[in-house]
Amino acid sequence: MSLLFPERVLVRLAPAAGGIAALKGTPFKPGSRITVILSNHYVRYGVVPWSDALSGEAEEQAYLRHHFARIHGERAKGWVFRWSSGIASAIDKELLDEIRLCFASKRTARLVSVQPELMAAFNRARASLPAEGAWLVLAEPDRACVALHAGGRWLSVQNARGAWEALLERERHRAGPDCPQAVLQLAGHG
Amino acid sequence: MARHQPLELDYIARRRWTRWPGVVVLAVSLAVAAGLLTRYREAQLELERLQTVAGMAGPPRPALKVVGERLDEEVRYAEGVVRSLTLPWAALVRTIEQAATRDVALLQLQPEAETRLVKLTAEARTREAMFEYVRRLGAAKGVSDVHLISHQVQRDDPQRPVQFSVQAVLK
Repeated sequence: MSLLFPERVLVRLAPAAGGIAALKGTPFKPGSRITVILSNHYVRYGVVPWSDALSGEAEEQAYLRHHFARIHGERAKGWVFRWSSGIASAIDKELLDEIRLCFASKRTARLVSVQPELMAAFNRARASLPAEGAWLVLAEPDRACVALHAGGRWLSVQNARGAWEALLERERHRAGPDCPQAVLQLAGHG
Repeated sequence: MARHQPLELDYIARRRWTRWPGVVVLAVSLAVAAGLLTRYREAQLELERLQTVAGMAGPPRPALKVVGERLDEEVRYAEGVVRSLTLPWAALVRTIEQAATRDVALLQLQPEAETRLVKLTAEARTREAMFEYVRRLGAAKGVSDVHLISHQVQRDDPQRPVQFSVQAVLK
């Protein structure tokens, strides 16, 4: 394997695929670069406006924790958060620590990215999104993530158990008749 | 097609806060690069100036050469004046007076101090008067080796005088 161009490996972490136990048991070539894609089973999303008053990572985490705590309650205390372009994500800190532990040894592969599935799918498909916006659907067994992206902004995001069609109908009803009609089903990994 | 910002929700590779050090490093790098570029230009200008100065100091300048040649000429002229001032003018004049006759008129006297030669141009009424003058000059004490260099009858003149040149060595 080239030192300049190491092998890049995408790994999807999902309960149906064995979860963190499967990741621990997966042999990776030493030196390879691992990107872990988190199934939406592990992620919570929310549309969160940015605050210019935030001046550091700690304040950002506190701000996002406050936002998620209003929806999810005390559980949000054990989460870590990320924010980008008006949308925020939260995952269990314990899960992130476990993933890191899988690559803690220097003789193993190197963990370079842990990202929610919505991020990976949107970034792959964003070049082909219609200008007027669209409903984005990520469907998994027993879970669906439906988000509305229009005018260059995230207007809503729902990540819930159940079939994606029902969730999409519910969200379209909430958004009203003026929302975009296009629906893009984003392909997940695996 | 609208341009959509990519989502940056990575939990390993941070996006927002870790960007600032990069921006700061970029700004510092640009400032350093600008400084280096300025110094490079200044160094180039200094190099060009030094090369210009070196070029002025290196090859001989025509103006100075002209001045130098003029000085040499003036020095040579001054030396010539000094030498001419050291000529035995008194003895020369006495010698010429001794050789003079009523049939010869002295037209020009050209002493050369460097070679100590004297050239006389004169006009004689006749050829015989010319030879007599040369003979008398040769007998004079102030000069030696008197030779008749040239002579020519002035045919335009009705009296047909003879113009001649004599060269002698100053003693």
